[in-house]
Amino acid sequence: MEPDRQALRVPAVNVPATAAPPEPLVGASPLSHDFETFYANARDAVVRAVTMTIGERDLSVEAVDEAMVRAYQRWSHVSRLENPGGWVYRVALNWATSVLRRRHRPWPFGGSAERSEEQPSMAEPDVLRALAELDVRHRAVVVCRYVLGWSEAETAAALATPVGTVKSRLHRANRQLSSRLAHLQDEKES
Amino acid sequence: MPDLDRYLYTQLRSKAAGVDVPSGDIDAVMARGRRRRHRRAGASVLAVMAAAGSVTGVVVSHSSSGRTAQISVGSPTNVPAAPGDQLTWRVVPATAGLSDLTNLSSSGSIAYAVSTAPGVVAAGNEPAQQLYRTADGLSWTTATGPTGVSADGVAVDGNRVYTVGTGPATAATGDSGAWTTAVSWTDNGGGSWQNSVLPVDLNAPAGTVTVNDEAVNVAAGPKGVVAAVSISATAELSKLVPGVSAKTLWTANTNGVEVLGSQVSSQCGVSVAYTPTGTLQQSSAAKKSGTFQPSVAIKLKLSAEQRAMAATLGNTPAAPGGQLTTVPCAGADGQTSSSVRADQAYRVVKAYTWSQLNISGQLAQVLQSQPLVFSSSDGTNFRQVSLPAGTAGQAYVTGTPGGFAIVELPGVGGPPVVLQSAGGQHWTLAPFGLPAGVTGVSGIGYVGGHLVVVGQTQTGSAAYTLLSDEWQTTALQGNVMAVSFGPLGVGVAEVSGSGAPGTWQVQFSRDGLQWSSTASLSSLTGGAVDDANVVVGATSVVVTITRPPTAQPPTGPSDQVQVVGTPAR
Repeated sequence: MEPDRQALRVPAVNVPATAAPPEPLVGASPLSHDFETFYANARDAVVRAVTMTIGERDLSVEAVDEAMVRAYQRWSHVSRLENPGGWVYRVALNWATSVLRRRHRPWPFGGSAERSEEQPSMAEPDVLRALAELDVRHRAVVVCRYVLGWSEAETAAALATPVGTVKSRLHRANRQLSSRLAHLQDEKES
Repeated sequence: MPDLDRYLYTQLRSKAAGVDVPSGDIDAVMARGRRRRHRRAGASVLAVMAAAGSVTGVVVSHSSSGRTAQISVGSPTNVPAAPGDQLTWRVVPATAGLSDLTNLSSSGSIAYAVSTAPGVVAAGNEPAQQLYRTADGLSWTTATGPTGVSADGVAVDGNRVYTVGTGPATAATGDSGAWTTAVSWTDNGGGSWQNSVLPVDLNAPAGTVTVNDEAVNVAAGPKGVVAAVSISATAELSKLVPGVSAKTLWTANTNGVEVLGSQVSSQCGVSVAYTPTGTLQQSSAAKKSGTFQPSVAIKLKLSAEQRAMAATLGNTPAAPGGQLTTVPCAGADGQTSSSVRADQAYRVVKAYTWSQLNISGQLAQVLQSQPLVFSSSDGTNFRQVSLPAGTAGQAYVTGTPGGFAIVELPGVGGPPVVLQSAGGQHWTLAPFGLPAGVTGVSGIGYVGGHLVVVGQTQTGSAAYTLLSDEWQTTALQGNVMAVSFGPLGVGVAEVSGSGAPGTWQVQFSRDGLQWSSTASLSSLTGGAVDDANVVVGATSVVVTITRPPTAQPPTGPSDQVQVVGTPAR
């Protein structure tokens, strides 16, 4: 079976036919010029997104708080960005990545900051395991796209990465995810 | 692949929604933002003294009684500027001004700073900070820093330049994620460096403790070098003690760890407040009922008046791992009125000593939020020194004419305390702690014969200047974004309001007592301001202003302009 065909089979398992278009969890437009409002609206969603990206909640909380501190320090600048939440996500992810590197410890997801190891390490199976097998750059694109609900252009701006790079990473990530998740479809059919 | 899209949207969002996110604390974030910016800023006051030539005795003297005195300071006031504090400002094209300036130290006309590159402000990546050097405060060039150590703090003593910073973790730093901390020095302007690794051992049973962050600073002078290391770490008691769950609340003290049970609801009724000595002070209302020991305070029957005044325990999110330090008391209006120690807000159901947990020495200190302070008389061999019992918090160290001073800023629960030492080895509590209500420290230094602390309260920023027996408090006009202590005095860059774009300005004082202000930096320079730092030199004050980026996302360093202030004749 061709990979793309296989990919088409996987999601049909659990997705309701009436699935509504996703709403961004953190808006790509400025939520407010007021830092307090921004913090209240964006903080938890970004923590969840970073957790999904690095696999360690407590470190994600620390990282997002650190990023929020930096956002507050530079709020006059950050608030004018098209997507302040994207800035916070990127700073938090970079901070967490830096901490993990400095610790010289295995990544919670079992991969490294640079590239994934090829063995699944998370206890929870299915989609999280598949996500964990991506390297962090591809994981970040997937999280921005699907968890935070940003468009490719918004994801590119948030990650300070060219749109073309986002598209190619998303494409590769989706191919890998679809192949890793194929067993769900097989189980369903059997 | 729309089906895959929908599947991933559904599944990943569902998984994300299942992440239990602990409550955030925006006040703490904003306070950290204000003071973080200015861990950045403490200049080597020893250079200041040499240049000013007006040393007027020890800043903080030993208390003969050994008691800690808290000086009550009234509401901050705006103090008019004396003529000597007025500066004449002129705008100059930027040459190579720094941007995100973390730490600054000067000696004579030479200053060193740890900073990001000129014009680099909105760095999404971990800031690429380097060591910079200047002879005029206007034009900075990169200086070669120590190899293998990321310098975070710098101190200049004559021709010798010290840095303190962190390097990669090693086996010696344990499994906790701590990294190596080292003091480095050069006598030839960075031509060659030597390192002294500070003796920090945070070994713990594998996987039980995680080091999150580390703040370091250093001060140097004729009597030696002092380095302060403040480490934030998280312990997971559930991995140390069988039968304890990850959601169990606990608190740490000198002896070890106490496991907490249910809340003691009456605690806030006596309005207890944490003091540096570890004892409790009672509110005036409580004092009326007579003197009593804190340990029995909770058993007192409150009067109707006291019950009416009683606040209720609020909620403080525990740190990851369940550690609690203090719990706020919320008044009838919902405002936090005081705080109580966690072991007073909750019933202690079990206690473990540090040795029972296989946690020793320095790690126990770190888990109690105590800084690790190291001293060296020759600047090369460092040993840890003891601080007065009961003190905790992030440490800011500076030189004084009589030796060294440290301001310790507790994260929650108490006012900052001031510690003093003649040679860096033996520390005592200074007789005059900072006023209660100080929630953040942006910088400390010694100018015009006074120890000056630039800090924050719940309501704004202020400069605290130590007089003979009290602190003078001067309200500053915005959120402090940069502080510089130098031979000429102290300069503060501020922005008012939390909204965009905010109004930037600089306040300056020769002695911490009389302050002058610039007009808004936007009007002064005829353009928008994205960021500003300030460097106080021997003859002038240089403000480097970074303009907003012209493209989104930013494609390169932003434009800068500099403003130079010189004393009016």
